[in-house]
Amino acid sequence: MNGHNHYRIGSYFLIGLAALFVLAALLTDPQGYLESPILMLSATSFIGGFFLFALGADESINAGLASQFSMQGIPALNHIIRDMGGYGAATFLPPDSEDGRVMQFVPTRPNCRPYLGDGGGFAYHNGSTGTLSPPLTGSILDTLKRDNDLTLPPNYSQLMGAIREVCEDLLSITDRVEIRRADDKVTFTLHNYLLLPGCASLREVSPESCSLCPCSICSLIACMIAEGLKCEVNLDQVTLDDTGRSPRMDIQYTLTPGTEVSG
Amino acid sequence: MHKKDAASIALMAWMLTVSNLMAILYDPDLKYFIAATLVGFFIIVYIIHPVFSKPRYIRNIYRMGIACAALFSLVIFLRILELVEYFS
Repeated sequence: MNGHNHYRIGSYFLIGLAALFVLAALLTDPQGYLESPILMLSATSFIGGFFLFALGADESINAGLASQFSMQGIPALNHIIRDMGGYGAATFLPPDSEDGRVMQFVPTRPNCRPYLGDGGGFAYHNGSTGTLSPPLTGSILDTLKRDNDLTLPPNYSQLMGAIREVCEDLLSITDRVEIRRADDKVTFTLHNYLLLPGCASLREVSPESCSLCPCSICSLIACMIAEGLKCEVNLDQVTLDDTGRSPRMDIQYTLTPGTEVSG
Repeated sequence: MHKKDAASIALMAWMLTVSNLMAILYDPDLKYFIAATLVGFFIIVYIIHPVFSKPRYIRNIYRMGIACAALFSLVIFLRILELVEYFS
């Protein structure tokens, strides 16, 4: 049973309890029931019940299955990227204009270029050739902005607050996000990360895929940083830890000021 | 502990504290109890309210907040009527 069901069951229990308290207040003191402490307990249960009902608004999902679901096709995509000569770490590039979108640059091996013909469709960035494509979670970011009025502030500390809100409140995939910064490295620790089983299965298949073509939350956080701070973002490493009481994931990014990309 | 869990526990603790204090120190009155409870509710909603986004649950809390504001206004209105009656 998940948290949302707990909220709903708790709310029904409290509202039912409130009705019982009203009945008890009426039966014990029919004249002065308005001053009865039992009626205050009834009001307590009623307000608490409605509060829980409002908090449990989201539909419940099976986190284990959802995590597997979100990973469908990712190994195949990584395979294609590697076949095209992709290697190293993907770079999330900030939007080049006000209406632009975050793009993902995956560098390709130099010896693969002749095999690919005239290099059509490839981009040049920081002296290396690679593929330029929209990141996997670009559409989710658009949906969050459209449906949940998400704003990405340009200030670092405020942006970290927005990322916390997205992970903890909007997506509810983690209990708590801890953020540490050392120079240009930022590490996010997701405590009790619900989609960990999917990440673990993906890493079993291909451990290097996390940095080559980041997916799910790693990609979303990178997109938010690139768009908010207008800087390039690289995913350095992802560490999974499911040995403790609650599963934990550490994601480390490197932030660098933006440079030009030519196509 | 998640923010929503902490908010639920805080609201229940506040309501039980107020009801017990009113029962011990003061003649219990449902109107004052609701007013005191709603003050706690509004403070908790203010604290848990997200700044950069609007999750689905917060929209429900907004609706509940509107209903609570109406209830709070009714309690205050009834109290003003009582005071007017007392002074006239």
